[in-house]
Amino acid sequence: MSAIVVIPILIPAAWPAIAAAAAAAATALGFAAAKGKAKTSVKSSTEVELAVSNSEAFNDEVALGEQLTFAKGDIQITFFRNSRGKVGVKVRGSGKTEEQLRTIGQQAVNGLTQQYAYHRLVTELKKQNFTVVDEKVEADGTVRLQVRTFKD
Amino acid sequence: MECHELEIEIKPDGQVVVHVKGVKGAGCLDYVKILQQVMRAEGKVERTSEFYESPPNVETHLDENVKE
Repeated sequence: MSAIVVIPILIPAAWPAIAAAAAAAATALGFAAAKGKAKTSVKSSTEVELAVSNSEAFNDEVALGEQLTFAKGDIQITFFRNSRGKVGVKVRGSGKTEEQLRTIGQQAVNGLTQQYAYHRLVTELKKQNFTVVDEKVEADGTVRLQVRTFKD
Repeated sequence: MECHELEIEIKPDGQVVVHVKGVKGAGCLDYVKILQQVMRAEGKVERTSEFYESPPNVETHLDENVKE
């Protein structure tokens, strides 16, 4: 091996890429897309909000203030990008403590970040003529990818 | 043709760890740059022993017949 690179993830993407990663993350946590006025369907007693720490504000992108909501029982998670371009997650639900909701929110943030990293890496490395030769998910949730290219 | 391989770990918190394999010498830094561009982020780079080896296609010739 010649080098090991440790890269912190940044999420400066357009909303469709964030939404796709959010949907994958929510589905992995057992949530389904909430339709209509989902916000009113939860008898909410508690709400927590978490910021995706490495999301970047990109003011040149037009569609700010968007959100996507998923539900599982009495819990809703909403992925959003605020008017300053920052990405975050809101979790609301009844019968849960703030700490429990915060744990769910952190899982959603982690899932969003991991899914975003996965899709971006696979898409961009394919453009650089890499082929994915192996892919597996470890017990701790780490995704392992092996990609290969040939050079003269 | 050389086979260049990247082993990528995407941690549950989204941190990405990449091992560049099969690239001797500083050529692997090209892949580091690609990865930094792809992820739009700077990363911490650890150089392994292979980094300090010469690339296989670089040869050194000594011509003993050269006269002053």
